[in-house]
Amino acid sequence: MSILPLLIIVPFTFIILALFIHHVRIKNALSLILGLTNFALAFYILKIVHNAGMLKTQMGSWPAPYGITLVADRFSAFMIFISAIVFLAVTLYSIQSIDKERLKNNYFLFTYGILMGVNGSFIAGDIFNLYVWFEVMLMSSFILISFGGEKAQLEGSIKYLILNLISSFFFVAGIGILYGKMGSLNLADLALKFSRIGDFPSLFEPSLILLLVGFAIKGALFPFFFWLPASYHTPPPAVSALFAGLLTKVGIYSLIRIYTLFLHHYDYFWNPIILWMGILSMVIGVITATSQFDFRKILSFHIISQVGYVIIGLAFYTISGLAAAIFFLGHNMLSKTNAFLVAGWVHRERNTLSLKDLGDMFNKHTLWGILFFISAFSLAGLPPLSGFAGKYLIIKAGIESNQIIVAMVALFVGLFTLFSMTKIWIEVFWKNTKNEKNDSEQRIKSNGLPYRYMITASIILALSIIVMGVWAKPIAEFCETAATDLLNNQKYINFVLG
Amino acid sequence: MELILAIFIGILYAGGVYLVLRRSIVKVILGIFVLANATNLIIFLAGGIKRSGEAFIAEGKETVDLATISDPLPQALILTAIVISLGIAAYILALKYRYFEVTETHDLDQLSKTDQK
Amino acid sequence: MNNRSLRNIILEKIVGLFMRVMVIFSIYLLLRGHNNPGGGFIGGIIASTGFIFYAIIFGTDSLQKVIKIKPQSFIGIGLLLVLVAALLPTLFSTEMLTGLWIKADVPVLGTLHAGTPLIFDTGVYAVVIGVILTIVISIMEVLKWN
Repeated sequence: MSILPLLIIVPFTFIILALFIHHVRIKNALSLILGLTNFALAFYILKIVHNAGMLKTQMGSWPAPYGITLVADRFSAFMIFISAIVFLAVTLYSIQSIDKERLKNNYFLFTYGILMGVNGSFIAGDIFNLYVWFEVMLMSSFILISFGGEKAQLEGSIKYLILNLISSFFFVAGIGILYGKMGSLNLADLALKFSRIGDFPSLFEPSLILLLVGFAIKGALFPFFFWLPASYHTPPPAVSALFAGLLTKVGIYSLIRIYTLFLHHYDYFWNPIILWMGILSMVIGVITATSQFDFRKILSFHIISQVGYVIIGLAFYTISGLAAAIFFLGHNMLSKTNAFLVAGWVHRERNTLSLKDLGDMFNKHTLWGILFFISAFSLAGLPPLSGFAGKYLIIKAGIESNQIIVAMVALFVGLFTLFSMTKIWIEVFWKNTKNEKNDSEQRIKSNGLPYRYMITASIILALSIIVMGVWAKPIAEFCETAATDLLNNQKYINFVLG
Repeated sequence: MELILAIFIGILYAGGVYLVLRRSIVKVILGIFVLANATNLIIFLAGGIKRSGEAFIAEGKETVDLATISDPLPQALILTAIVISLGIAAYILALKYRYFEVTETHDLDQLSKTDQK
Repeated sequence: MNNRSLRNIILEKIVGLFMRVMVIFSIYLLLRGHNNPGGGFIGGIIASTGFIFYAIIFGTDSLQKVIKIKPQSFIGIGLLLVLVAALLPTLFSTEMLTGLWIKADVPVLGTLHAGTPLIFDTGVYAVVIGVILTIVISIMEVLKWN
């Protein structure tokens, strides 16, 4: 038996067990154990794929263009590995931060639903299967975002729900039309057929536009990002950390996958669109973030701006550009999740996330301050953290492919990011507050080690960020091989169909 | 037949978009259902429709004549999409019920509490 | 029934019968599903229609007494069957979800043709019943229909 289906079976097993087990402690322990299993599995797959290049499984022994293919190349394996780290950390964090009522009502069942959807999307070898895994992920995320039914949460979830459903309709309508035109759903087979038709029959091929818009809504790209800042700050912190780390990135992953497989044949049409979407997401996300005064809202707007970096890396469409995009995607998942985790802890301590009411956290909680410092300034791109390497690679790729202006824009956006992060840092951690009463309340609450699990989770992510920054060279080399595989898509086609 | 179905899908999309843009949450939800059905019909239409037999291999035979059967794949896709929209319908109605309980309004313009002042 | 004076004996008798007919018909559809129209999804929908009729007339509590296990457990059992059907072929060193078939001569029914797709379909059948009953029962409980 091949190993790839285990990525789906492990979360599936948890879902079944969670339906029968009613004891909260056992469920928590189980979720942690299976999270670790998933991590070990992801590491093992990364190791195999690093040596072998690609892995595939034909479900039900049906040969490639007809059956369901699961396939993992280096890019997928990297994404699976990073999302396994993020998922493990968030699970650890949730055990402590999510309230009893939610844990009892099968909170973890739905996070594992998200894990199943994310893993499935990363290894899906045909486009309808990709849609199904998207839906698995979305259904779980709908439930998680409205779980608990507080007023703000309901408002956020309605916006989230309706826009994401519409993106699903775009996506599935695109798949239908694509199937009608091409007669195939397998990604590799589609790529082969696209490479054979030569010149494009019509620039405004409706199915591809529908697919692109569907992915752009899911990945929160300009001009389709409005649902994200309207909803990500409403659910419990652990949930928004999980969403920030995993959900939009799957949309971006799919965009990179279809762009490298078949959209690039018509890059005279698609490339400017993608490039401008990237630049505008980057700029608009970061500028809107500067005007916000809510911790999680600033971070939400930064998701949009950072997704823009990945997309311009894709739009350069060189080996170094794609490698930078992959590296940046991994870095962003780790740093963003960790920033949200710290935001969740601040919310727990002070019961507010408005920057104006916060302050003076660093003196009392130095460790959390350091953890936030690491993730925030990694997002801003300070050495030796992972963000520096990511931004350096993107800008270097931009200069190499003669997109000097784009590279300059990316640099300036980095400056604005630094500004926002400094703002959070000063307002939340550095500023002196004169509210003495508030202080004494806090002191009672935080003696001993009350946040053991939460802080461990955050430390895991912070360490990964540092590792990714300090040992950037081997990771960047790995990303470069992955990018070479993506650009040379004949290899993927031959591997899947052969 | 294709033309009639295509026009019908267009009408469904127009109606769905109109409903989704309304202020009342009930109408938005109805719009979502209409859009879901229009999308299912698109898959059905894109798969090609013609008067033909079901896609089963007859008893005792090993192969099937491709000219006489209809393509089973779009139907399988639609079945999947319908099941997914069944789940979403149940969820979204429950959400609507809860939303009305908490906010006591159908008006989506009241949804501005979480926005920045 | 809350209001005893509104009891309708004919309706109650028919619904009890109707539910059984629906369940038996759904099992028939489930079994013929692989090569003929039918299958787990359709069977599950039809069986749950019968249960829903019963719940509308007698209330959700009496439905709970009839089906004995909770609808959520139906989902769990169904998913478990799906997992078993998916993993069974790996014991015979083929890929996941490959159909394994056995032929057996049964005295009365003739040649029986069964395999892992039947287990898979039964899982789907249970999941569909579980999901639809969960939805309907929770809506009925919230709206106080029983």
